[in-house]
Amino acid sequence: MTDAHAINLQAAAWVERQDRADWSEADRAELETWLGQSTAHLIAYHRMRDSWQRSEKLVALRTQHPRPQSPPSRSTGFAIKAVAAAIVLAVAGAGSLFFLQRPADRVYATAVGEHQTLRLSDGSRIELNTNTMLRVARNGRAVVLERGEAFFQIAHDASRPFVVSVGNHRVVDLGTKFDVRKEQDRLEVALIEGKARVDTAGINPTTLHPGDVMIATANAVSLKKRTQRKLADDLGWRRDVIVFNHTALIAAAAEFNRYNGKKIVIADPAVAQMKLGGTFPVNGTAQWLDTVRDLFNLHVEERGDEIIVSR
Amino acid sequence: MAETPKSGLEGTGAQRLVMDVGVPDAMDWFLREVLPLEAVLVRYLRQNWRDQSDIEDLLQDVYIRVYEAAKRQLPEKAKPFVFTTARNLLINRMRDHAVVPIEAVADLDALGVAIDMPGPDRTALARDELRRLSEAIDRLPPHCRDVIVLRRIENLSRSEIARRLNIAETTVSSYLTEAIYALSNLLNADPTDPRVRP
Repeated sequence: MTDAHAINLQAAAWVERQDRADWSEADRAELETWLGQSTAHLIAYHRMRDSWQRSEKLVALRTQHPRPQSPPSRSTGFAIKAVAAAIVLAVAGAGSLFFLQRPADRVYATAVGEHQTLRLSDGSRIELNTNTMLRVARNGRAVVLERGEAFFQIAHDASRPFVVSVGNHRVVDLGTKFDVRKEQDRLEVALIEGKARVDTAGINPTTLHPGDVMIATANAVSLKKRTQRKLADDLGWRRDVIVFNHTALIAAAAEFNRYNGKKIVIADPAVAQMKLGGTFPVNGTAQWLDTVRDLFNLHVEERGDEIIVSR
Repeated sequence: MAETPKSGLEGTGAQRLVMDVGVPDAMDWFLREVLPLEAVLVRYLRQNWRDQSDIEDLLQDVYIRVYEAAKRQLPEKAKPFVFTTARNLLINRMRDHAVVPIEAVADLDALGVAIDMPGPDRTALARDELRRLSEAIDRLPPHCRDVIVLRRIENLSRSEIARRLNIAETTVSSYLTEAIYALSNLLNADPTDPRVRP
């Protein structure tokens, strides 16, 4: 019997060697010789190489660093400016080195268009919307939302509060259902049920009640009220739908674009401001495009990775 | 020897393309059709062979037989071919052993079940790829995870990784080798099935 384990390790060593900067023609010739020695070598090498090549996609987990921002205007309050600086710093600092600093964390990520539900051992549920990345600490009571949107339904435990960190904001659960959505330069926390507290460096903690939505941008933090109906519509993604209610086409397109590789582009400002309502499946871009084309008599054209909507 | 390229060129693929080995046609078929069956195949082998330390060898033997046959002529359907090969191999191995475990033979007759088991859904696989990858990375021993994260996600060269982790460059290479080996098992076997975890 051949020793498969030893051959597999040799094959892995070849793949590793081939990835080095000093890989040479002589090395290649040596590898060809090794591969020619037996079918076992050939298969083991290609099997290892296949995994290694697949791992190239891991680069997608690299945290995108925010573009440099213009400083907030003088008129904004001092405390708010401090918050903005803190958010930017925290996002820039939170690279993938988290893997090293906190090896006990578990990482969960969804691809564009994907929707996954995570169940924690304490009964809490976390739903991940499209293009989202989340780290869960080993104790299961602290998560970091790296990007995207997640809905939290938390099993309350007064002795072990559940904490969601996004940049320099910490959402502390006080028995709740809530949604956190992070975009390039905007954070939104919507409270559906129960109570939660948002701690942000530089300003007093804010307690959220049902219907409260906290919106933090680079320049400001504000609190808004939304009806339960509107909140339910915003959370349509949990049922894999997007709900529009007198929504401008440009906003609707932006929403669909979160779920697709192909992006809808609306350049004409008049078209951008046309309004439409209705419920569409998150993967129903084509259906929505058909509707707006027929309803507003528009022109829809695919060009490479873009779908152009015009008059 | 030519001047050593700068470490920053690692992984750019530019010079690798020139000095790469070819992929034979049969291997192309093997990677596309046979490798995705590995999780089910490993489960089948585990269920039908008592000594679990033989599995890696058994898997290799199945692969060699399948590949040799494919070199002569590509089988029309990969899955029945792979499992029939596995079954024949197990029967031969049992004959070689003095004592044939009776229950193993009985199980072997349930081969049809293994063939009918749903194979991997390719679209689902592609969609879940990133999740599978990050879960696989998560399961690596910490020293392997550190180097592969720095190499694959941060795209650092070996010398940069060595500096960052304060270890020798040769150590980086040996950790990476270990990581590649572990990854090949984690990515091909069904990670949700504890029986097929390496």
